[in-house]
Amino acid sequence: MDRSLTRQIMAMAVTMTTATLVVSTTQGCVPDQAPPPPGEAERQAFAIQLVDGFVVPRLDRLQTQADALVDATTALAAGGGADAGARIAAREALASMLVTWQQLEVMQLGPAGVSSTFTGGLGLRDGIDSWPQVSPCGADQQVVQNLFGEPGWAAGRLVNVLGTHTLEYLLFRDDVDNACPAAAAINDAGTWAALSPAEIVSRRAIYARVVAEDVAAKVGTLASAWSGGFAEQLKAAGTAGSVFPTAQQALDESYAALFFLELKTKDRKLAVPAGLHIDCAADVCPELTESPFARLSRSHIEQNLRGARQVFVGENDDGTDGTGLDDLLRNAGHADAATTMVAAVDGAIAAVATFDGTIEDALVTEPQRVRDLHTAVKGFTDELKGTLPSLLGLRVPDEGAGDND
Amino acid sequence: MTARWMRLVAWLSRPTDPAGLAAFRFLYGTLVALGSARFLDAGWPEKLYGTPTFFFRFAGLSWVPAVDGDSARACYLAFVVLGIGIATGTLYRLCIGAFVLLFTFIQLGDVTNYLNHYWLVILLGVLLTVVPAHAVWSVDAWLLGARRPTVPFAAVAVLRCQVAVVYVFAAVAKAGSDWLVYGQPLGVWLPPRSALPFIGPLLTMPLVPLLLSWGGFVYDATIVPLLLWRRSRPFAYALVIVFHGLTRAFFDIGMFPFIMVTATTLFFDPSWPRRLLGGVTPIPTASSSPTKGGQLMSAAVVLWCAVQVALPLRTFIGSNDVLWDETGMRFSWRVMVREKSGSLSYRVTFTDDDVGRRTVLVSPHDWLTWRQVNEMIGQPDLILQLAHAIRDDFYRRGFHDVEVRADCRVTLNGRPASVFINPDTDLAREVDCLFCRPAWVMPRPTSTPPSPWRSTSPATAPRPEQP
Repeated sequence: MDRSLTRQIMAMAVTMTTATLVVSTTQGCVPDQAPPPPGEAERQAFAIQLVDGFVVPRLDRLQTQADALVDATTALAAGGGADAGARIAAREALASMLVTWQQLEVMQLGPAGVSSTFTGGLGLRDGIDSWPQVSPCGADQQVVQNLFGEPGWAAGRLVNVLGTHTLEYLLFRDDVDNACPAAAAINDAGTWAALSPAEIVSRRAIYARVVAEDVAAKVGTLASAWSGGFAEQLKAAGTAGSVFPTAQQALDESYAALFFLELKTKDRKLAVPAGLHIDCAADVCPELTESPFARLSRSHIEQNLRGARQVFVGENDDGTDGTGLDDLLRNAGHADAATTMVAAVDGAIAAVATFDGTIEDALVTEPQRVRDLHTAVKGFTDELKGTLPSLLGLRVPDEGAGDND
Repeated sequence: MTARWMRLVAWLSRPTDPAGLAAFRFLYGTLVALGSARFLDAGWPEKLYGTPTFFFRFAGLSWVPAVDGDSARACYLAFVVLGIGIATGTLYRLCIGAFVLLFTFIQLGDVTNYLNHYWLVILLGVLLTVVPAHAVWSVDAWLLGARRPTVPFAAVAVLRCQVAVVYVFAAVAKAGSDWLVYGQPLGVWLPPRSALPFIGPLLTMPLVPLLLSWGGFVYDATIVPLLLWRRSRPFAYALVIVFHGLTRAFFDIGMFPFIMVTATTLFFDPSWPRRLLGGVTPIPTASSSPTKGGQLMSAAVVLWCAVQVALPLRTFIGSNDVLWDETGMRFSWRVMVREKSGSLSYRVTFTDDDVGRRTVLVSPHDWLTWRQVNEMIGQPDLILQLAHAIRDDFYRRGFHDVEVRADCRVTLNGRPASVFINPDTDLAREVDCLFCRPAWVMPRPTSTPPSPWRSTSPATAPRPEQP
């Protein structure tokens, strides 16, 4: 090889390297005014739909409902917890709020999510609802300690004695027993037994008010995080300045959030109490349902599925149609897959919505019905894990650890 | 035979300028150092080795201890230092040997971390351990007397052979209908990259995945002869840069493009660095008569190359459907040719002394990280490994007569999801088979992948009724 040939190679190499480096490293540097390419445009439309049509309206509603819950628990506490009407009002306020919350559960990305998985993750979800990390016994220990009135009390507590599930326990437990084993300090030392029934009811009501205030504040923090910048960042995915360099990344993270249905709704809320998981040491475990005190487990599952459907089909809060994952599938030429997936989620919703009675009761009388429910939900989650990522090129963000080839 | 053999020995033994080899040593060491620094910067040692609680092991090598996050971090820090040592040729044999051993050790930690380019790094590293790549332009040559004016051509030839094997079998892997007829999996992977500047909008055009599939196939099939032929070499190397630059833009394949752009310099004339730097007369490459040592060296080269050819070919012994059943998938240079995703849950039936016979479901997410789940879900041997781990766990819990079955549906290159593992097979009783297709892997679905160039018109696609 003579010198001119060598130099020729190097000249071409330098030229081509420069050209390819420009292509491979300037991702996200397209000028703002340039229209996004077709695929990117519809992903951006999905991100906008997700923010304006799903998350933000629900956060607004959640804030209103959380404030109403504070009012209701304040009234309950003011009456020493003994006013049956105030208790019913507080329970209804919590149940209303949980309808909205359970829909949002399937889209806990951004500030609600954890930073290791989600862009902009602040881990705010667990402060509002830490399920399945909940501790009724821990809550009863707090009742004995009776320190809720101290400033900053909630800030120093673990999430498993705060949040909506602790509220459920405090508002829906009708007796004055506690959830701790006999060997626990409050039973062993007799500190629980030393409390009068009226004192227990009163303390639980005050505790509920404090937790409701904490939940409302954390809902406010979550809503502020969205309105304070994250919503705009997500809507601007794929444009200069957004923390999402591509709209595909926003889509990937939305997809990751939907795994709540697989990991929590199917595997925890249904499989565990139905005796399909080793965490249940018996044939069935009604005590391990999500909502053993309010017995709202069926409703929670239904709202999870409805939330997932609304994200999937891009349904706006007012019921009108927007851009959903189904549209992305159709526009990519996979109308059949879109139809199959919508049918699967509709089938799961129908199975839950038409479920007669509570899951807690059915586990005792006809556990197979709950297992059938599990199968119905699995029908959708299997599609979610199999077909969808393959056809839309979706990646779970945590997959980003390491390279591929 | 003897005459041919002696001609081969003579060809491999002819004295050759070590400059090209030294340049490759420098580039390889630099990539080792930079790649490891990048790995550390991304926090991957912790994510890949510190976070998982279960590690998949290579067959027969489960005795190799898995490393934890801190140890992995220490290893990658060591790679940075060793890479600098390799690049500068300082205590070269020690550095390259230690790097190869340590890098191989850490790669044995978890099968889900397997990448083709890690395998290539190991193979090239093994060869660099043997060949005198520090003969010139190294600290060893300067200070420790390692300088040699020439090296046998075999030192270059065996490395060229190694790189050629990668390209040839990458082409073989692409010679299938998914790639060449349906343009898959590029049809799945490229449209989401539409945000790329300049070329992004092109990627949403229906024919582009198919055209790029053919481009990739033709590139892999022809690049070696094009690089070997002196007249086409400039054009070929430009192609190398464009091809690997584009793969870098399209996919998260880390250092692979850089490794290949570096490794293909081995096809240049061995004196290319001297000519590039100018002024120094190339060393004459007079042939030498074959010696016993030369014959031994040539035999080693032939044996190495034969093994490297045979290893990917084992795919065809056990299966004719490697993309689906993965028999012989690893170490066969099937780079980026399949997209798999799916769902998996294990059904475990056992006897509980307190409850009786019962069946529970076990999610792989209970055992694995997201990344591990995504990697293992389409790989039968890993599905089997986890089944065995679950079986052993249930026995440890005091249960009896444990049976483990898998409900697994997988999509391949955009096809509708199909049952992947026979749901009736008790995996607890099955053993891994190294060179054969497991009988419990279901047949590949007869459906074809979606055709990107025959997309359904959005306007005519049916929509479901809103409830």
